[in-house]
Amino acid sequence: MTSLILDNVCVDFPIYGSQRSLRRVLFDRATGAFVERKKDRITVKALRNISFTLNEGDRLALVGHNGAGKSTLLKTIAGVYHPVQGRILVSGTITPLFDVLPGIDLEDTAYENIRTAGMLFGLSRERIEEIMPDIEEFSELGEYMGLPVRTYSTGMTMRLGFAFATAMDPGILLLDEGVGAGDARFMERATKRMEDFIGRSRIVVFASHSNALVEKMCNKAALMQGGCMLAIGEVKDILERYDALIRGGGGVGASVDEAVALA
Amino acid sequence: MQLDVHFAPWANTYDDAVRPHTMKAGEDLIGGLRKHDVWGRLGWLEIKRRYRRTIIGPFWTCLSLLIFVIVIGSVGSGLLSRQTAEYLPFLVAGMIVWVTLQNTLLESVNVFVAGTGIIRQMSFEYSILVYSLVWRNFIVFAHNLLVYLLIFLIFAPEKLGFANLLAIPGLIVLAVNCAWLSLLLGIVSLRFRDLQQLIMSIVQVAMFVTPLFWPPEGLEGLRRVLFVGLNPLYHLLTIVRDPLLGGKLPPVNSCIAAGLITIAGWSLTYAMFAKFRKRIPYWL
Repeated sequence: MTSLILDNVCVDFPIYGSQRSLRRVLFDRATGAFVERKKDRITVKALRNISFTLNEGDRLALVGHNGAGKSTLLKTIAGVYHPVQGRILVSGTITPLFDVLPGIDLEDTAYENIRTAGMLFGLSRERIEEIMPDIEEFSELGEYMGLPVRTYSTGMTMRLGFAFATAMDPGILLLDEGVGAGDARFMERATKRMEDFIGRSRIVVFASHSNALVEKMCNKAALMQGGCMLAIGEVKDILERYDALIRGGGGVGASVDEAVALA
Repeated sequence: MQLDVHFAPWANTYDDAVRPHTMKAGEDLIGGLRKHDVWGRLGWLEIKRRYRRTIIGPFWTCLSLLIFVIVIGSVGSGLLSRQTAEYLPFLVAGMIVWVTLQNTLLESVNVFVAGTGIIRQMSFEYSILVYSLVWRNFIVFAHNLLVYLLIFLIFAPEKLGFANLLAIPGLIVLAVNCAWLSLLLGIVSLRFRDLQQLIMSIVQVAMFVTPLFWPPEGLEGLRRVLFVGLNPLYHLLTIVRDPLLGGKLPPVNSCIAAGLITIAGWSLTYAMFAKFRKRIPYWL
């Protein structure tokens, strides 16, 4: 049984500026000023007390303004960031699909990058060779597959990342918006492939600005603002609240001011 | 992808196989070591990248080492009034070990920064980055062995024999030490970016202070205690170099010292890693 449980998860980002220096810390320690300095260290409270439970078949959309904490939440579920408080419990395998191939190197060819990324994801060599023809075909990179990725256009690099990610077997799928951009023809094919991919996943957490996509793909939604989850529930209700929030002028500025706090 | 949630058998178990999505330092170090195909590949690709579009490729490292050894060797044998035929083999055996140690130290301050592209995308064993760094430096060592063989075949063929293979246990100890060094330096220098400059200057000075160009017997009294006896780099160097110099057994003192350095180094590094592993993505 696949499930994902977040229990009171908080994430803080310390912002290091000039104080990221050994001399400063040693000096301050020696002069006993360390405790004081800590007071003016800026911490961005990126996620605050997030709790929810997802079970098999749940497709959760995260909606909210830029900087509301959607991507941070996805990366925290993926295990990139460790919560400063609370815990995340999972049963199943997690497939993060963010902006690029993990460990991509522009000097390497597409084949090499796919093998590296595949191995990082724990695929066996045989499995990587199995999915390779599918990636070749879907990305339509042709001869470029054997050339260094630095010779690719932005769209081509994205196609490669998209083709690789969607060739895998997802358990708990984490999707960030903007995955799979490209020309109109590719978008059409990508949307179809994405639907199939989401269909194969057991749980999906999807950050998006596109209401149409959210309504089509998801059966649950959560509204985020300033690192808090304001509401979680039916897609229709949440999208209505989100629209109200936009019209009500609860703009980005307010939430950023709120999010930056002196720890 | 199989980002199976790793858990230790001794950890608390939860109902319905639901596990906390975190990785402990020990799981990271051991799980990472097991993924030798991943760090092997990352290390190998880095070497490939470095020499792409060059004509003689990895043999550049051999060539530059050869030039260094011949030039410094000629000057050094004059200064120390020793036979070139005797001094060059001594120098080259030390240099191939030193280059490995030095490059590991210099590269380790960037080990996590270089891995940003992976760290920011997924949860994985950070130690993989460290193992791949050590691995690629030992690939370079293997290349440099050619220079060693060349110099020894020309000047001291009688000192080549099966007994030189006694260097292998020393090399393993060296690799184990390179791993903690680069993990520790990687963590500290990620938080305090000054460390990179500091390491650069230490490595530069250490090259002259460590008995690399001159034999340890050349110093006496307090200086010898200071620069030879208390110099950890000397002990790590000598456990590999002595067997390379015609199958000599390294001094017992150095073997014990190397063992102590390994234990102390790993204890400290493990404590740091256990404490700060979670902070690594935040410090990037």
